[in-house]
Amino acid sequence: LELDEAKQNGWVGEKDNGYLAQIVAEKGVQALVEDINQQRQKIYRELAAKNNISVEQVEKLAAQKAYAKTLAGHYVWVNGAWVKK
Amino acid sequence: CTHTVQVETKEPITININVKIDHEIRVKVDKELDNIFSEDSNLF
Amino acid sequence: FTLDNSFSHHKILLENSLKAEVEQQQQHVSLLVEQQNVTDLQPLIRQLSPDLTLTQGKLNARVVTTLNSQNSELDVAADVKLDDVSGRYAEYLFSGLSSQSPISISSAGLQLGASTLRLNLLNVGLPIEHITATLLTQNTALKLENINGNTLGGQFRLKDVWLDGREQHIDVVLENIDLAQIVALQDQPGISITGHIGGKLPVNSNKQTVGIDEGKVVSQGGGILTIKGNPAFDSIKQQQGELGFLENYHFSQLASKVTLKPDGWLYLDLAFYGQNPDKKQAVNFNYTHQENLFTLLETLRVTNNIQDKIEQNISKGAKQ
Repeated sequence: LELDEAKQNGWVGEKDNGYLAQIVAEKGVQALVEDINQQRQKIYRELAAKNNISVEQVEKLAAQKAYAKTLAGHYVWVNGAWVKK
Repeated sequence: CTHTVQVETKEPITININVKIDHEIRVKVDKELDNIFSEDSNLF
Repeated sequence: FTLDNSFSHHKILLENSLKAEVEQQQQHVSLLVEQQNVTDLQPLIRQLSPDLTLTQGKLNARVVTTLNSQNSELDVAADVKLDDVSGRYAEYLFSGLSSQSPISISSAGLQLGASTLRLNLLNVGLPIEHITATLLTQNTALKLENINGNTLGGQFRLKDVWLDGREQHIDVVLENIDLAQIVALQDQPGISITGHIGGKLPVNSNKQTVGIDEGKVVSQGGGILTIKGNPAFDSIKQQQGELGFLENYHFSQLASKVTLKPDGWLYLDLAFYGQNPDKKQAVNFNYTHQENLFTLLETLRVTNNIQDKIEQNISKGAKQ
């Protein structure tokens, strides 16, 4: 299952903590989300250590970046609900 | 409202905290995050 | 239009944006602009000040030019009224600007009679609200007097500010500034504080930059500092155990020095006097804070814009 396909179909969306989240229990979506988030977390930890700031701060910046770059029609988590940008 | 609580306290101790906020780090991290959240990245 | 000595009345379009009615009588020519949308004046404004963009508001103006028989120069007397004007100057957003200024231009140069200027909001990254000031010229130099406004939950006031970029010293008086709103600027999780501060900031400014030497603020009454779940604090606490006293710290007094260097670096030197009531331990807490104010404000502007953009896109998106 490709990430772009999952986003296009609205099966996954960007949460406000810099990670991906499942919206719809489609086949393979759970595995995709866990795999992507694991890779992101590894990078966030490296960035935090390299710049001696906390992982939470990196995640916060990542969330802002993800929101800004989310394409129209894809989903973002705002005030406790999935919203289509 | 004033907070003068008359409580017998132990000998005062001194705590020092010095903080320097370096915005350059935020800008640097922001740039590095650009790669993860770019079109051709497989993580976004 | 031609200037003959008979009476004439025309409607003209200046710079294909300023719609005005012109009346000419003997050597008087009066120009009347009514309820003109300032947005139509953008081509004109861009020539006057490229950094200025107006997005909303009305202009009313009455301009009378008279041919001065002694020195055969044109004397101009005008009354210019701005209503609820919004826009952006460089990267600063402003809204609700209103003023009514008597202006005269003669051989003595530009003169602006004292008039009240109101500005509902100026956002430099930090919102500054309900600004009022007296706008005038003193020997043709534009000046603001008695400036008042609200920011960070409190009030500020300044006496005189020359707008011609000269080297000047301005005392900024602060009152009832909410400590919680100052801490909120830092966007640090888990830190909450109550209490208000006030004081005087001696500001030096010139065309390029601005600075504060030996500013002093003190708390008006005490306050409570609580720290719970802040990653940076928790990691220092592992080495300095006594930091735990600050997790519930009641201070009766706070004084701080404030220094702002021309390069934008802000130095705060806070001295708290208080105690942790749970452990009955008196604590003198000294906190020094160094940050570049200009980059902080810039970051706040950027993050505000990201939030605004997201809300804007989403609200647009949601409507379809």
